[in-house]
Formats: sequence, C-alpha cells, structure tokens
Amino acid sequence: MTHYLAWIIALFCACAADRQPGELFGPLEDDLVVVDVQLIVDAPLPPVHLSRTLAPGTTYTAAAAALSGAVVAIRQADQIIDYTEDPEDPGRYLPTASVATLPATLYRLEVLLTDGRQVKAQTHTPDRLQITQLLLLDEETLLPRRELKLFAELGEAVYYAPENQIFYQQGLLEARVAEEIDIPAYQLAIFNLEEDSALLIDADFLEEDDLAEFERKGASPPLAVRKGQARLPWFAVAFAGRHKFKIYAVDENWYDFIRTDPDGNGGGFGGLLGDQFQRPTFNIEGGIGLFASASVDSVGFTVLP
Amino acid sequence: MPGTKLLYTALLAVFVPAILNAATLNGFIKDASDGESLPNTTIALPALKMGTLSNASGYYAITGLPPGRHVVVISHIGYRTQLDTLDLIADQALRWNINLSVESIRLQEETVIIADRLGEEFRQQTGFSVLQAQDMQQMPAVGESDLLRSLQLLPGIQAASDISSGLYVRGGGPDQTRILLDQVPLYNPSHAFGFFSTFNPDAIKDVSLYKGVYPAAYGGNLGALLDVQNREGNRQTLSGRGGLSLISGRLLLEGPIGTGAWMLSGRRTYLDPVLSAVRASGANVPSYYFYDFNGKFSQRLGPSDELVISTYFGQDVLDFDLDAETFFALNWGNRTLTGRWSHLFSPTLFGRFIAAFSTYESDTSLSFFDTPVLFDNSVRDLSFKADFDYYVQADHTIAAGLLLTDYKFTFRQTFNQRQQLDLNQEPWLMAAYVQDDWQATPLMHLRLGSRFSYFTAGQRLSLEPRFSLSYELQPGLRLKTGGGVYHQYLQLVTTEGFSGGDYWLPLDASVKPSRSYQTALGLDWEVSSRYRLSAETYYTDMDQLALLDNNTVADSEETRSTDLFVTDGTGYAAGLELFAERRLGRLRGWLGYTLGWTRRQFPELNRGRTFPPKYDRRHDISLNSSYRQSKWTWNLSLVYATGQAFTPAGARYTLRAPATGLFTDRALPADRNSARLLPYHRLDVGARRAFGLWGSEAEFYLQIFNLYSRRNEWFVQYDTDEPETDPKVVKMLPIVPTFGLDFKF
Repeated sequence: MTHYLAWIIALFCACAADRQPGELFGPLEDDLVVVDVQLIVDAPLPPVHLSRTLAPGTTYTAAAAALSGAVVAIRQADQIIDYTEDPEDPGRYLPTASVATLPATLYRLEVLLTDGRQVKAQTHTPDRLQITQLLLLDEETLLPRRELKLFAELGEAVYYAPENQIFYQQGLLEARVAEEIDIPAYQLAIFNLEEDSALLIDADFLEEDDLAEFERKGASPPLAVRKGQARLPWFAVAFAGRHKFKIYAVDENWYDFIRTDPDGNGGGFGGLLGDQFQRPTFNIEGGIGLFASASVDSVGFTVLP
Repeated sequence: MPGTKLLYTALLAVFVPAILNAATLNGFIKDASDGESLPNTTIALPALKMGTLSNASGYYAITGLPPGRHVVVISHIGYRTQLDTLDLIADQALRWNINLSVESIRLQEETVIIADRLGEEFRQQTGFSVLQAQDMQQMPAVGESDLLRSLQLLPGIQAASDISSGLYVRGGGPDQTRILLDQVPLYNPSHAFGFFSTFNPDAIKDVSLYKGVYPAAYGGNLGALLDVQNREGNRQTLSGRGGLSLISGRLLLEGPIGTGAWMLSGRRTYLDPVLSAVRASGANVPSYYFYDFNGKFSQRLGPSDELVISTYFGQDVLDFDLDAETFFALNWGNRTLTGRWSHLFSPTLFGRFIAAFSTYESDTSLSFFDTPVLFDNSVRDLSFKADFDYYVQADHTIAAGLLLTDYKFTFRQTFNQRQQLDLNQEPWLMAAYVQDDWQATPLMHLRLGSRFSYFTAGQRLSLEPRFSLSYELQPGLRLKTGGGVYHQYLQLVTTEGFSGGDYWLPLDASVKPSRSYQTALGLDWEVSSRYRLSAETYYTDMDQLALLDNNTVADSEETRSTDLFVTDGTGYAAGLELFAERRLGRLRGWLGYTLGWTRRQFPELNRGRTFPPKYDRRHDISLNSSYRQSKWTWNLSLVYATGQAFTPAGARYTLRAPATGLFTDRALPADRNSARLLPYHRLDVGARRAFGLWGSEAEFYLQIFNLYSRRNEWFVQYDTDEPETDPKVVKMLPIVPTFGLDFKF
C-alpha cells in the first residue's frame, strides 16, 4: 500500500511542470493597425491617432507603436478633410482645415498605410444633447431639495454659485436632459478639476495603496437615461473641489466598445475569473480601435468636505 | 387498410393479457433493516422466463402468469437473494410484499456490505451512474463529504475549480444538468458560493445520475439529470446519525410513526463565532453561515395508498460591513415542500401524484461609498405531477405521466435608488410523457418513450422522442445504446468559477429554447460480482444555444431574453468514457478515464469562430479507492485532467478611454479560450477509524485534500501597468487537512 501511494505521488509530481516565459500569451497579433478617433458633435474634427499592436512579451513604448507616413482623410457628407501627420508627435494626424463636427451626419475614415494596408471605418453622429436641469434630490423621498445653476446661466461661475456647493454624500445629484435621443446608450463621466484637493474617502478598510489609486476622472458603463434623468453615484466622487459632470450620447461604435471593453467598467453581469477578458467589438475594417462619435453636455458643481 | 390492421394487431398484442384466466403477482419490496422502499429489484420466475423490476416506489406487478406452483426469485445487488414457491390460482391477483435483507459478504476476515439499489437501472440505461451514500461519505473532501464534489470524480463529469461544486457533465455547463431532490427541482444546490452542495450526506438515500440520454419521464434540461432521493425514515426503530466537521455539525433522527416513518435532519455551520472573534481583533472578515433542514413523513393509508410529505429548506447568509457607507450582504436559499400520494388502482396500475412547491431566492444588497445597489432574483415553481405505471404484460410496463408547472420569475436590479431592471415573468409549462419498458427478448430490453411539452413563454411546443436499448451479448456483457431530443426553456446566469447568487431566467418569445440531440453507445461487462468494466461513447449536438452576454447593458425598462443572452449558438460534445470498478472486498473503488471534446459557436462571440468552453477537457482520469483493514478505512482519490481553456493575450496596444480621454495600455485578447492552463492534478487521502461511543457506532476521520499541495491554476490576469505585460496566474487551493467525527445510533 505504501509503495503504491509513493509511486502515485512520484508519478504526479513528475507531471507537474512550471510555466515557461511567454507561455501565457496567445498566438501573436502584433502589427495590427490601431485607430483612435472620437468625434464630438459641435467640436472641431479631432486628431487621428494611428498606432500598431506590439507583441505582448516585448517592452511597449508609444514611439515603437506609432504609425507614421499614412495618408489619412475623413469624409463628412460630400466633403473630404485631409489630415497631415504632426511632426512633433509621430502617429498623430491633424486636420488640414478646422471643421466643426455636425450632428446626425455620417463620417467615414480612410487610412492608407505606407505598406499599402487600408483601414476604413464609419460613424453616424448623434443628435445634440442638452442638459436642462441639475437638481439635488433628497435621498429618502427623491424630491428635489434645490436646483443648481447650469453653464448656460452662469458660465464657469457655476462652480462658485451658492446653489452649486454640495456636501459630500448629502443628497442625490440628478441631471435632466431636454429629450431622449435615438442612440443605443449614454455614458456618464466625472472630472475633478482640482490638482491636489483633499481625498474625501475615509474608509478604515482601505490601505494607503488603495487610496492612492483613486482617480480624478471616471466614467460609467453604458446606461439608459430614462425619463431624461441621470443620477451621479457618490462612489464616483472621491475628492473635494470643483467637478464637471458630463453626459455623453454615444453612437453604435462607442457603445459597442465600452460595453465590450475588458479594461472598462464592463457591462451589467459577469466579468469574473477572466470570463470578461474577451476581444472588444471594434467596428474597424482592416484594424482595431475606435472611430466613434458622441454629443455631450456638462454641468459643474463644487463638492465640500 | 393493412396498416390499420397491423396497428390493431400490435395494440392487441400489447394490451391484451396473453393467457386467459391468468394470475397477477404484485406487491412492494422493502429493505428489511429500515423499511426503505427498494426500486429496481428483479422479480423473476425463471421457469416461465418472466419477470419485472420494481418501480421508484418499490412496487412491482407481473401479469399473465399461468395458474400453478411457481418458483419466484427476488434479487437485488447487495441484498440476499430470496427464493420462494408460490401457488397461484386462476384469475388471482396475489399481493406479495417482500422484505429483502442486506447481504453481508465475508471475505477472508473482513465483512463488506454493499447495497446497490439502482444496479438494475445501470444495466438497462446508457449513461447511468450510481453513487452509494456510504461511498460518498468515505471519499476524502474539504471540510466534509459532499455529494456533488463526489460526483465530480466520476468519468464524464468535470469541476470548474476547487471551490466549485457545479457539475459539468459530458461537455455541458451546470445549467444543462437538472437537479432533483425527491422529484422537486432545486434551482441553486449550493452553499458557500458553491464550495458545498445543499445535500446533507446523512439524509441521502439514493443518488442516480443520468449523464445523458435520460428517459422520457424527465425533461427540461439539455444534458444530464441528477435525481437525489432522501431517506424516508426508519420504519423499524428510532435511530439517528450525525457528524461534526471543522465547519459544521449535523444530526439526523428517524423512526417509525403510525403506519409509516419520519425523518428530520439538520446541518449548520459554526464558523460565526470564529469569524466574530477575528472581526473583534480588527480584521475585515465577513459574517457568514449556512444551514439546511430536511424532513420527511410517510404514512401507509391502507393496502393501496401511501402519503409522503417532505420538505427542504436551506439558506446562506453573508454580511460584510466594511464601513458605515460600504457594506455587502448576500442571502440565497431554496425551499421545497412536496406531497406525494401513491395509489394502487389495481394490481396492474400504480399511480403517483405529486404536488410540489419549490422556491429559490437570491438577494444581494451592497453600498459602495453611499451608492446603494440591489439585485434580487426569485424563482417559484408550483408543480402538479401524475405518474402511472401500467403492468400490461410481464414483458411490457408502460409508464405515462403529466406535469403542470406554474413558474414565477422575478429579477430586479436597482442602482443608486433607480430601478434599472424589473423582470417579471409567469410562464406555464405543461408536459406529458409515455414510455414503454419492453423486454423484447430474454436478452434485449428496450425503453421507448416520448415527451411532449408546451411552454407558454413564446408558445413553444416540443416533441422529444427518447429510446434506450440494452442487449445481453453473453452473461454479464451488455451492449447499451440510447438517444433522444431535449429542450431547455430556463437559463442559468452564473459564472464558471463559483456559484452563489446565481440567477435563473426563462427564455421568452424573443429567443428559441435550446435544443440537444443526444446519442450514446456503450459496452458494460460485469466480469464478476467483484468487478465491473464499462466503455461508453457519446455525442451530443446542440443548437439554439443561449449564453449570458457578459457585455449586456443591464439598464432597460423592458428587458427581453435577447438583451441578456447571446443566442443562436451551436455546439457539440463528444467523448469516450472508460470505467473499471471493484465493488467488493477490502479494496474497493474505481478508475475512470474520459476523452472528450466540446465546442461552441455563436455569431456574436469570438468573431463567429468556434471555441471550446473553459471546461473542455481532452483527458480526465480519476481514481477513487478505499481499503478496509479491521477498524480502519483508508481512502484515496486521485485526479488528473487537461488544463482548462483560457483566453490569452495576443498583443498589446494603447487606446483612449473615450469618455475620459485617458490613454490606457491594454492587452488584446486572442481567440476565445485558445490556450490551456497547466494540467490539473490532485491527490486526496483520508483515514477513518471506527470505534464505539457510548454504545453507538462512531468513526473519527482525518482527510487531506491536495496532499502534495499542487497549486493548480485557476485563471490568468494581464497587468499592463508596466511596459512589459505581466501575466499573473491565480491559483487554487493548497493542501487542506480536515478532521471530524461521524456517529450512528
């Protein structure tokens, strides 16, 4: 019996093998073209960033990944806007003319690389989005406590308006948009505009390293803005001071990417134990990345400790 | 109309007893030691080459017997074969109840007792496996013995991880296996996030597992069926059993009452005080416990009627208060209440009527820095079922039944005090089946059946033909085959790593129910009463598969199935299972090997390409053995399996997060599950020593899970914070020793 057991243990120990470096990487997909362009309605056409994928086992640098020398153009209806590479920043291409992005318009991206590869993508910009009200609700009754001022009323002075001073975790902040538009989803984003304001989170269970990881920018997963109402969750606010709260009305490409991005906030379920590490939906012909559009509006307020 | 004439002749052949003035022999077969019914017992009249098997309630009937003196042989593996001589007179219906005694087999100086209540089903049905409760309790385990973890050692069954008791049977996920407790579905049979199952080992009487090709009497799932029968209670005397392990205590009491018996059993963890003490020292640990309770009460209301009422309820409660504004609370549990009335309409017509109520509720509430999030899911299943066994002739038993289930599903998700999902569905399921068990020749047994079902969500009507055939090539050597069509209307929402807080949702009109076509072919050789060998191949073709969409945006007023699941999937599972078992002697156990493939394809996943699920395993070997020596019993379990599939990184790139504009370094996932973790292997050992404890029997045990502390790989995460992409492998459990005490009085 003892010999039998020893033999089995020896056999299975022999089966044990250690990992070799690189074994945990899959079939290489280096040198794929990566497109990075986000059109915002009413803003000027943005730069086009072109790079390439590198093998995961190598050291990644932006310089090594940049794709230079490409011929880049964006078609806006019948108009073609050519791009030229920024000599200061390889892989970044700038429009040769200042053209505003139109709502409800089809845009096409065309890229021709020096090695002859072509990349194409298209996006249909959403209609304009307008925030009409910013309210502080009572957490219990969900009735408005007060109405905050909008950029349309006070401009940048909203951050200092008495109505827009709110205490951390007191009430629920709700933005209301004029009307829902025909888009697949919205995305909310919060920006703390201070550089070194106090961290408001004071939880005993967090270590210093955890506290250092809180960021001043954050975005939600794709959401519905039902009945025109979008609420800001308090866990998105970590620092004191001025905040800009943006609501994006996103197109299909933006929506597909953020709902499938394993590095993002993910969707509603899943995401555990590597299940969510799956290829995002890119909607790029001849490459990967994002060529997407959104319309956006924002509100501003100041969080007091 | 030759066709009509042929049909008429066939019906006459089936329904008209072969012999005028024939007698009928019928009755119930029970275990003499405790009065538990004995299904699948062989009652044979060798001289007439006639015989039958007892049904799930232990009832049997043989019709068409000629008047006269006959020798009757009653046999059941593990029980002493009984021979009797009966005198039958014309037109007599003789009620003959039989009590079989457990057989003690003396081998050298050891007495080994084996009771294989379901052995006959194994002989006739392909893909059928049996696990004895006593074997299950002796297998080495983490903490305490567990039914589902023990089943994971059988060929064709995989585990997702060391902490999961989910069953992945023959290339199917845990949602494809239907789990019944006393004929009632359990919607989440797990405690402790899947670490343990809800089945109290003391309360279990029989466990039968159809790994595929299950008969027409059952339905609702694409793959397998696990049917757990709890003990009915000791009809002879008051008795009890229980145990203390490192994590829980359990106690079962049973005894006779009136014309029947009762059984009560309970189990509860006692980790709470330990966790509380750890919390008091300032550490952040949650409060957690689970409990479960089983009860059964049976009464014989007369020679032809029996009433059985059974219940189960169990709950897991987790509270993790991190801060005034940050906490996590999770409760889930099942409750069942079943009433079963068995009635003998005539010696040849046996009926069982069941009213069953089963609920599953899972509530998750959390607050993250004052942002509240709530999820709650419940399933209510109210079923009425009628099953009939009609003993047409000695070689034909027709089973038929009806099922009516009223479901109620709710699923709500609230984020920051706003309801994002509110799903309420109340579909009905109606099903009927008919099945003929036909001993076509003395060597060939056929089971032909069909199941019809209608699901009101989407108005889905399904016809599911099933068959199985067993042919005895030579004594002890059987060729078995079977096939069938299966549909699944309910979908489980879970992760592949652990279960707990799982959701069940019905597929509505927007998604077709999943469908599978199963076939199996096997050879089963009972070399002797000591050894059994089997080889079985299977192939399952699946279509209309639905899989939870991990990227679902759960924020919709009218969520439909098509929003929650990726659909139109296809797939297959194929494999070969080899099984060798030594059933008697000091050394007992089995060796199993599975060679398997399983694949899925969904238009929306993996760019439309075929991929293996995580639980696809090419090779899987398991060895389970026990060696009895005087008062000691030594146990050993050994598992070796191909590493599970995972999705590796194929490249690295940078892309801005669109809303914040932050440049983010990212790993690009390669094809879904296109790489393998290292092979999984593990050796568990255990020792048990019997001793007397205040006049009762007791056993102390020591078990070591993962003896050589192999850190098997669980999943991989890619860290792109540094310029060099760093893959991190998260590993499973190291060596875990446990000890405890079982007792019986």
